[in-house]
Amino acid sequence: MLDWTRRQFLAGAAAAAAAVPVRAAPSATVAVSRIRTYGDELVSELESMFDRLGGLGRLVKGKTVAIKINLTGAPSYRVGHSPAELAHWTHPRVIGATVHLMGRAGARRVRLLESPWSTADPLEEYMLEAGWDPSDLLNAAGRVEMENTNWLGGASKYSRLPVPGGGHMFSAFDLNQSYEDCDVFVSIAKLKEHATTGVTLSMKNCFGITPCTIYGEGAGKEEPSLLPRGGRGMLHQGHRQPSASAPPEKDPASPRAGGYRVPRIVADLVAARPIHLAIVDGIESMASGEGPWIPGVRRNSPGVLIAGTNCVATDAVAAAVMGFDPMADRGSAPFERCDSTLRLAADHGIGLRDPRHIEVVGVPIAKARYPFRAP
Amino acid sequence: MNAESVPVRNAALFRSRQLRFVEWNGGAAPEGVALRQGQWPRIRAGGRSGQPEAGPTGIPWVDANGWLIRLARTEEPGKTVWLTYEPPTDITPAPESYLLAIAEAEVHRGRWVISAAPGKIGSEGIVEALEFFDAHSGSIDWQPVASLAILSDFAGPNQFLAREVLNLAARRHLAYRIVDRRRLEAASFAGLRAIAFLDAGPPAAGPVDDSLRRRLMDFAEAGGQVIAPAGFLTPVSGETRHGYHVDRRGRGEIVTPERRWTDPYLVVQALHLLLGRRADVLRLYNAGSMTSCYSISVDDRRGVVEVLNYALRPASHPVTVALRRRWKTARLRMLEAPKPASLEPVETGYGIEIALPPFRVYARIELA
Repeated sequence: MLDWTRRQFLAGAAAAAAAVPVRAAPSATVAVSRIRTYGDELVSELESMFDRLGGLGRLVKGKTVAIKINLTGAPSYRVGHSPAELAHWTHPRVIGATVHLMGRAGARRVRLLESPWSTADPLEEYMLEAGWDPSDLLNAAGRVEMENTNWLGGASKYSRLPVPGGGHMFSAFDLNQSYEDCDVFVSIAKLKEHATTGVTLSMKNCFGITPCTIYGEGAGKEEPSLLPRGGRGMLHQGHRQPSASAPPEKDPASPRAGGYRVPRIVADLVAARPIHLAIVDGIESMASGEGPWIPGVRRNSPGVLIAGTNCVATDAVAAAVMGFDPMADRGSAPFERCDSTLRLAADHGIGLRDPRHIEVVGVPIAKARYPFRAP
Repeated sequence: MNAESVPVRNAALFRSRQLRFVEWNGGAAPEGVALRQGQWPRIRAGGRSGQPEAGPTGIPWVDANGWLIRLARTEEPGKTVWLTYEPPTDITPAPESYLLAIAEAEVHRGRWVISAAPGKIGSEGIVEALEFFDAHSGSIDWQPVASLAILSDFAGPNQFLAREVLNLAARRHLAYRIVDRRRLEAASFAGLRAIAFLDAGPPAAGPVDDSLRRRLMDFAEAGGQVIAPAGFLTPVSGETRHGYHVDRRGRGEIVTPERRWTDPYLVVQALHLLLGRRADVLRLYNAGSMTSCYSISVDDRRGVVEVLNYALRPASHPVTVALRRRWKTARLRMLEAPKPASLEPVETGYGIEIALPPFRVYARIELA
């Protein structure tokens, strides 16, 4: 049973530093909060968390902020009768509160980004179909925009973002320009398990920054298709390559299993498009999978928010809150059939997953813990 | 034989106190009946795996007849529509699929010419289903609830596009009224937000087409949205939206495609975008293999939403029906549990939501 507190983390880190030389890497602070509902207290709670991380102002003042949200699956899918935001989508109130606080902290422009399932429709229409009112988000700060990044959109070309160090699977990605045209990049994810990658948190959320016009089932062979159709099966199974206009896989002879590929691709993506602020919505969520299409999923209510400026550390803390060992790897929960995205991202030097190098502020993990699997 | 009878191919198999069965094995349409072929309603399986085929949206392809019955009722008003297809021979249909065939026709106020081979399904189950619909179906004069009208002659060069748009719009629960341009004088545009005029080309010069153009222009002047084929007017504003030219006309707008229509799937997608999801009169959740029919009584005091499940088994997650109109009460009837059950409409920002229990073939939500 994991039972880390801030004091234990720091003590552990000190002991480890004394005993074993560790690779130099950024230490990180992660804020954890217990919060039961998406009510009015959300804004002040998030503000406190951001303050504990050093304040939003230093991060966003005068900047263009791009926020990748998680609207996975079609908007007509629900776990039982629950609206998507109470199970598998990031809740609009978490998004709205974050946008509002960024506006107050002086962000010049806030852009909400997502690559919704198999469509080039505007995000606003996609949200409406799910029962959301996009005006709530567009009015949360002074200049808020939305962009469907599943295709080229209004840009003249895709942006090529290289993976520093060459990448596990890809040396670079061709993405919607919104992922380059920003000063600050934020990932707002949901606290969930995932059928392919064990957990899906702030890093796995970025799997969805890939446009399906290039990396999807309906992608053009030579050039990107005009419109996205289907999901990202090619990235999962590797049965074909992206459009030839984009950088191909480094090694097409590497394993084709999703549990090998997807964690590596996610690690490559967050290396290519660094996350400056990671927020994980675990107030209401679901267990046993990432969406209603996974058999046996059920709703749960972890009642927790997690945020940090280092995505690896944030996801490590989130995994610990879920009752998992962030140091686990293939063969151990939650990575029984896959490699650990946390480890692969750490290998890129993005951050540390070792709790001994993470300072948890706010609520200790022991008090925030909500095991996703029965003991 | 008359249009009120229940047509079957072997009348000797069927007995009912409430219903009168008549045998029909082909030939001319009886008086008061409009015949259409139709197709066996089902999720289409195909490909090498035999798994259900998926359309470009990822939802399964469904062979459905609702749009065809509605179109036939528009083309031949006052007649009862009989669908004459027979069960497929390449598969052994599940017993529930006969109930789906009956329910689909009844929902859209038509009849399937029942063709139940002995041994496939007991005639008792079929008679029970027919008696259920005889007792509970809405009146023939209930009107579809919709923000959009689809206008065409649905024939000749317009047949493929216009008919396929009816089919595909129904699949995405985009509610519509059908307006036959050959019967334009009888059509009302009251209560509509948009009219999609789906003929391949603009109205030609002549008294009939001049009248059509005038009515569409008047609709736009009064604040409506007219979505018309390329060439309906010469765009002057320079404004575009989702690949369409937008020209203001009075309090409304005329919208014409930048490129000529070819793919009905893209046309339906564009219609829904141009109309906007805020104009949805209903939305369904977890209903990927289902179609729906939302209609309202002439006095505007009662409504009904009927949902058909082509998967013939309960969805993995139950269906939620969302309606823009805030009805106060909801009552459920299902083929497998004909006794009504009260449902509680829950208020949302959009309107109301009604949670349905699992069902195999057909659910009917009666609203007041």
